[in-house]
Amino acid sequence: MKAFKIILSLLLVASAVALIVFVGGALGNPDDVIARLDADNLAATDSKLQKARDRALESAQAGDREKTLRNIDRYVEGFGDQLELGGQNRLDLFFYRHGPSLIAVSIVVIVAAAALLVSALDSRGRYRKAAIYALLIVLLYAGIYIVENLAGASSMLMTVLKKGAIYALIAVSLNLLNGFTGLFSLGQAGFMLIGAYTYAIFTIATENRAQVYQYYNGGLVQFSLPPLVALVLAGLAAAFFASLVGLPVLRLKSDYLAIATLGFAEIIRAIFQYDGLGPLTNGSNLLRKFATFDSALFPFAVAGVCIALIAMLIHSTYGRAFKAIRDDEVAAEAMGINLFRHKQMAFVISSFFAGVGGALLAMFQTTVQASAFKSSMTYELLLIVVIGGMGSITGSVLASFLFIASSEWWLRFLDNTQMIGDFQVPLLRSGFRMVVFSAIIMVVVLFYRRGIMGDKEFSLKRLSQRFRRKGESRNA
Amino acid sequence: MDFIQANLPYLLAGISVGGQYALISIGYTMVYGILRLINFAHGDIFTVAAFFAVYLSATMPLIVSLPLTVVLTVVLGFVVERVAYAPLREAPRMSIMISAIGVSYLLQNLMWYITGGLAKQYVTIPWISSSVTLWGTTTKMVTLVTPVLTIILVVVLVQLINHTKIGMAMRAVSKDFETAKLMGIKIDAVISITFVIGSFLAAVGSMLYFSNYTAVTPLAGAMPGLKAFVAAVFGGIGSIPGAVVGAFIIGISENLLKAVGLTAFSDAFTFALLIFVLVFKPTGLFGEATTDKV
Amino acid sequence: MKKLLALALVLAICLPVLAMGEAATKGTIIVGVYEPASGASGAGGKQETLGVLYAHSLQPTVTLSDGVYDIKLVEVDNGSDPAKAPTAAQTLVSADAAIVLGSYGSGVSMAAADIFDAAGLVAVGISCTNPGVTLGNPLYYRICYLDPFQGTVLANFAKDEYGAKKAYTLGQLGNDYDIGLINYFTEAFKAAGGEVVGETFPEGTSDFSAYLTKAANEDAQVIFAPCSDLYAAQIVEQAASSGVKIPLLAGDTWDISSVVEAAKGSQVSVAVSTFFDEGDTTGAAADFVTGYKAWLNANADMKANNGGNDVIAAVSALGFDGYNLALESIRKADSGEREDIAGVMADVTWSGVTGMIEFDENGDAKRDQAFIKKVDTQNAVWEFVKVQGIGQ
Repeated sequence: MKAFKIILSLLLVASAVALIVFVGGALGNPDDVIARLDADNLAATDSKLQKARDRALESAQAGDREKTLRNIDRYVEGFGDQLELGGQNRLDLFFYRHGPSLIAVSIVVIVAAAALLVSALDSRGRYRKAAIYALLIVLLYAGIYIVENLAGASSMLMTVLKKGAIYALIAVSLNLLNGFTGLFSLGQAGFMLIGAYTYAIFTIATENRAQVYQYYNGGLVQFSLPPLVALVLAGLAAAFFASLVGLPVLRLKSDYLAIATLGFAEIIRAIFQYDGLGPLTNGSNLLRKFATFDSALFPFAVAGVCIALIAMLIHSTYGRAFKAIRDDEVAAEAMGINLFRHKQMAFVISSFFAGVGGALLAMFQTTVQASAFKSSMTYELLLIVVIGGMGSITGSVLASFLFIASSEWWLRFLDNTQMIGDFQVPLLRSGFRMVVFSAIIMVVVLFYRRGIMGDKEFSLKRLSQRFRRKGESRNA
Repeated sequence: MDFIQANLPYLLAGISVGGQYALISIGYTMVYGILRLINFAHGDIFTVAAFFAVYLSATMPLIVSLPLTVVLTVVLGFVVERVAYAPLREAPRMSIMISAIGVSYLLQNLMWYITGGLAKQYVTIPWISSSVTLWGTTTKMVTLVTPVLTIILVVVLVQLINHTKIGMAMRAVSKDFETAKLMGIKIDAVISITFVIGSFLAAVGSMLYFSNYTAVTPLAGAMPGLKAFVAAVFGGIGSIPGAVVGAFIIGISENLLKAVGLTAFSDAFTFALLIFVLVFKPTGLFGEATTDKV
Repeated sequence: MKKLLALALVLAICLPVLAMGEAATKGTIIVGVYEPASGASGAGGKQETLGVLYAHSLQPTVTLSDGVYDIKLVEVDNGSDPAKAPTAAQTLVSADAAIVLGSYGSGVSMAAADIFDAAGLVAVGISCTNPGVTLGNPLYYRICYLDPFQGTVLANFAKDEYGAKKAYTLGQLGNDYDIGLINYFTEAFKAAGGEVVGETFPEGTSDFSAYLTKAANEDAQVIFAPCSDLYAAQIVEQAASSGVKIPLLAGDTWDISSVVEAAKGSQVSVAVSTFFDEGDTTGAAADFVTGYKAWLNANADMKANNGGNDVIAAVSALGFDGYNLALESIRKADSGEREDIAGVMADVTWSGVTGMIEFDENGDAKRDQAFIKKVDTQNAVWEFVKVQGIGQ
């Protein structure tokens, strides 16, 4: 059995590597195929066809994959019946289009093989868990990559996934406060604002500064930082402000704390819009032309790492102290937990991640303006946390994706008049989407108060146990 | 004389807007006193009242539409309490507050849907909307009417609370919810009446406010609502005279701030004031100190 | 029961197919309309869209060398909010638009520029006047004049007409249009020896009395308040009711019927600069005026979107020109492909109802005159004052 596993895993690795080598070779430049498609040289006589071909060639030479694919599609769609689409051409196009996905699959296979190898060699099962987790993570990211390749980076699906990942991070950071520490804070939008601005201010390319800061002679900052550094800085700036804000407000109780943090977020917004700070913040005007991301892998990677860090914190002794404070402050204090220190810690850490999330949001939007970070943004996040379940990280993550997908995408059809034959469906017009959406939220808040996950976490173990239990009861 | 002429408009605007905040903030402070709930939807009920007036007046004369507006607003306040807050009576306080945020979100989106997201012009109420000149300053009649009407309404309300049976029940419930329940007070009825009074005052406040500032948008009530809440906290939440005094102070100082030219900070100032009060005197100007029981 | 349901389902699927019928054209080219239909600029955005819709109703197809193509308009609402703009812009990119028109409001245009640019999609700004829209965005073009020009025109007008030496400016915090135009007005006004006091108000403000008082206290001779239409009507209304005698001056966003309504019967003096004058009776413009009015009056929905009357807003005329210019660019490219349109766009010219449109090296229309209009408070109509350039 052991030998079989080892041989199987080695075979898998070998075949995956072979696939990568093969696909990598075929990936190259698609100029060749595009030229070959027009086997009868119709371009010489048909100017439309020639144009379509040239568009594809041009974008291929520019190295813009997404545009090239789009142009090839258009070319094939428009003139498919006149082009040579069989044999080698079909194969080459297939590999150009799906090559990256195939490589991602190969990588998954390699990791799976490695996991198999580990399980074969590790007789005591010490590394089994780690191997499974590694496999799951690689599977997730490979999946995102493949979906992005299939759907196109600018498709609605990817837009929703990117924004969902960013909101997931911010929702988890809010949950750390509201769900795990029992601090009802409504200041998240303010800290996101600080993060977003810090990031934007420090990553605008120097040559664009004059354009962005058009009323402030190019602004005060005349250098730019690498995006990752700025991202960390964004978190630190938010955390720093949080530590200042926390001193006075964290001594307040529940709803007073809520309204005070809400107030602070508004004050932060007013400060960032203040004309006197214009050389730094561009006053109340739009910040743009800063470094952004193209692939969804970036927000997923950053959000993934940050959420993992928060999860680790929650499972540490600090996390247990947070929960003790949430469940009973007086008892927690009696047990020797320093209330203020722990609250301050949760507040600052949560704000750090809110800052990073704000920076990601700025990257996603490509522009950022203080006026967008209103209290309604915090309310939305709070509703996400409630829908996911107070005190459940996986719940917040799930709820973020559901929330963004339904508000931005799935329910969009409610905003347009729909005709079934000659019958116009009543009520459907601009704005109906949000009415339905908020009604659904009210139903969740009133009747499913514990949200999707309650305070439980999604785990494979529990899922498998549940299935087993169901199976057992059926057998019995 | 020049000084008066230059600054009187700010003061008048401050007093007028202060009176309007006062009418809203009573709704907040009474609900908080009894349920310990920040009713985030209160500002939106205030806005809905304005839309009621706009839409009703389009089809019927003012003499019918305005009273009907008040009735509908009161019904709305009552329904919101019954549907969104009453089922959560035993739930943690955070849940009920979240429900309030949900209601606010729903009301805003509903208004957005019905109006198409565009501003509506508020109805012109005769006499109140006409201009008057006072020491060389022209202003609307409503500016002068508001503080007077506010004070009359508050005096009536305080009488009601201090000298009627239902008033006594309200005081009892806000003092000790559980004990009042045990003493046989019908808690649900008391809470409903609280919401009815709050919504009634919000409807009146909305008429005064929007007669002055005539563009009604779905979010028009959010900021006044929040400020009225701050006023309630400032005056000592649960205390009606406190809410009124707080509202006037906030309305006036906000406008004086504009007079010095710090317009960008006039909203932020309100919140700074709030945090200052919360940190140094959490019970506000007129609030009673409470102790935590373990 | 199940059978009934199945039948209903089949019917529901078949009906749209039956309704489709056969297409007589070669294909469809999609023109994106990126405009606010809600929020602070919603009213203006709707009027601009109306101009586009009217132009589309006149010319719903385009003839290219290989046949006739249908033009389909896809409208998205950017909500007057730069934060909502990216998703709205993304929707147009995903909908395969060949060219985009819009937006009313410079901030939302700037917020979407990068997304259009990444998709290789040409956007034609219709009434966004901030220089930042086209500067550094090679695929963003625009058919109206720019703020440095408009600001100078208005500063000149304030000096010439009112003899103003001191101006008070008021704009919305965080609105690129307001802040930009005020900035250029201030520069020009100061350059001509004037003095300027400026203030901003936060979003959602409804009490403007304090600002108006401030202007009076500062002894300003003109109030320059180029803000969104939502605030415009409120400012005029409050100026009228508090008896402000200082003339109000603003840019193209104030050219809207709600401003006239608010000023009706009062003593306020309101003047604006704009792109088009309804009273223009020369050739194409006269045809447009009669045709557009008839179209508005025939469509109750459209008339409601225009504010319930048939007064022609300048942005509607610009929207009309914008659509026709987009058609011209498709004709010139002889293709409905983004790249082809992008390739020819710089050389496209169009003689529209608002005048000749030609692009300079930044992609801005070369415009050298603005129309100045005033409110006639007695009859509640706009009154044409003059055409003003910056030469004099």
